[in-house]
Amino acid sequence: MELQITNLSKRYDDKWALRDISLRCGRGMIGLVGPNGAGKTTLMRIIATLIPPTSGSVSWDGHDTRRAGQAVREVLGYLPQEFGLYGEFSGRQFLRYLAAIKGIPNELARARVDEVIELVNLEREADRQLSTYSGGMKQRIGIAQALLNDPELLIVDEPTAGLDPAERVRFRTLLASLTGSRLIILSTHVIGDVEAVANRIVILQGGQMIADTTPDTLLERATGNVWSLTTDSMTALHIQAAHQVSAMLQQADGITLRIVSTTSPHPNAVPIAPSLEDAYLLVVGKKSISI
Amino acid sequence: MQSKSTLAGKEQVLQRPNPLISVILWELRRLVSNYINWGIVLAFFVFCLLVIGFKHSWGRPVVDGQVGETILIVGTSALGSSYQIIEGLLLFLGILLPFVAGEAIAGDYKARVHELLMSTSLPTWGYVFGRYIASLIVSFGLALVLLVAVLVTSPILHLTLSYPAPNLALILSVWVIAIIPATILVSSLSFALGTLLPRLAFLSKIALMALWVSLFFGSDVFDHGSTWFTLWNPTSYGIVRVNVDHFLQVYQAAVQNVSDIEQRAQLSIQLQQQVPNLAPWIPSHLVLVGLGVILATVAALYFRRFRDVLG
Repeated sequence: MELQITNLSKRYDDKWALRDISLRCGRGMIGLVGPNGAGKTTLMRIIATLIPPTSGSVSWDGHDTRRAGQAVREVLGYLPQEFGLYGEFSGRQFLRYLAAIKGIPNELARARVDEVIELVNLEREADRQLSTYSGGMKQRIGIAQALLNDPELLIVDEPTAGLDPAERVRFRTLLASLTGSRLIILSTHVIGDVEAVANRIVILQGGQMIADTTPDTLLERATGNVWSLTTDSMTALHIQAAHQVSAMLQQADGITLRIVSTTSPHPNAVPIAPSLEDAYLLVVGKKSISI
Repeated sequence: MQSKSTLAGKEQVLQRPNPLISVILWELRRLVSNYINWGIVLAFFVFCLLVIGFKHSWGRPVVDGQVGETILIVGTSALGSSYQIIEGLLLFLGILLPFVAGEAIAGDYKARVHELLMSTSLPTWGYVFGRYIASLIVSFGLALVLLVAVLVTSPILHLTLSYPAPNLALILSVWVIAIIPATILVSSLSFALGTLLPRLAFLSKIALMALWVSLFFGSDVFDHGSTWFTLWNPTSYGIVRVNVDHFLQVYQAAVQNVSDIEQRAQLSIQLQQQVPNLAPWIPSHLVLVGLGVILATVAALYFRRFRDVLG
């Protein structure tokens, strides 16, 4: 079980969405992260055989996916970032439909649909029409359909978008339980999702791969580059303008900032242990803030 | 929580469902489970009834020497049945069909289901032909609704207005020779355009609708009984035109020496009951059916699973 991406590039008109990406991966989970427009979805669509690359190649177990697309789709489970459902079907009917489309024998389809419904915790709502589902429930149906054929290659693009915190944790646990026997590519903006389940992180920016490492290595690199400072609001504004602030908390004695910087941002700033989000921001080098 | 798959190893020994059959059956199941579709079928049926109720006879002017006369072609006569089915109803069926078949694949783009389907192992031919056949079945269903409306109203017209008893065999013949080929051709053309140009699906439907309507009304200009257009016009208006013209000629010859109004009316009904000759249209309409199938095949061949711009 091996996915090999070699010098992959994709251009839309005069804009490069991906440039010279090379990657080799076996079993396990890869967290694919990067800012909006980094090329994550384009990369996933190419791997899922939905769009052709401009140059370079993707191969699965040594077979070029452009020539052996059918074989790849046999073992593929794919959850797109944005997708629709047939509102006239119930959740169970829709999954039965996709089971048939995926070529799952009728004798097995019913049981398999029940299993994936249970996995995504939709037993109670499975027979309701999809048009009545909330965004989170639709997302769970999307996850369920990706798992229907017990895929060897599971590609999930922003799978936890729209899920409530409990469902997000449940889904992360589910993904973790699936990891042993397959390759999972998880694209997300939520660094916490990657931190919880991925053993490898690939960071894309501007269509280029700027990091391919493990969460631990990324954290190691960030050690000594994250600072905490409690200060007044005016100083906080100055710090925010000059440095990357990953968190800002209003407290009784002032504003506590969490700052990502390779140099000490203020004489009173104290180094603290980095989180994966800090480490990511250090690599991406973009200003971002969460309060 | 574990993914305890029932699939492991078992798929090999069990037979996979036929992709074509799966696509057809599930697409029909999807369409059937949508109440709006049933509403459309019902509305079309009621509309057909209203059209027949509103227009079940056609006056045609005849000049006999210095005397002008308007004779009525009645809807249940042999001649009137073809008039009713082709001019009265096929026009509206042809307007409706692009909205049915044009959505067969384009609808998946609109509903954003395309990516889910195209990332499965479903073969492209199974998807395209499955959707095509399903859309044809639905189109035939609408053509059947049209037929049922004619079959329901004809006996009522016969009983209430003393029109001649309907000729069922003739009604079925007109349905098979005029309605079915038009249904296949229009559905196939709509399907092909919707499949190859999904982003222009609405525009192509409007264009087809306009083309269909202009073919109908253009028939008055081009259909004179001996042109290629008479035989090849998919609206089958030529059947009406040629047989009505023939009837008028025969009628004028027959009533030359008949001055009694009652007798002339009786003669008119008698002559209208002569079964129109549909045979000349069979070969051309078979070719139109073949053209429809070719269009669907072209759509399947040029359908791109890969698309650079999605959603």
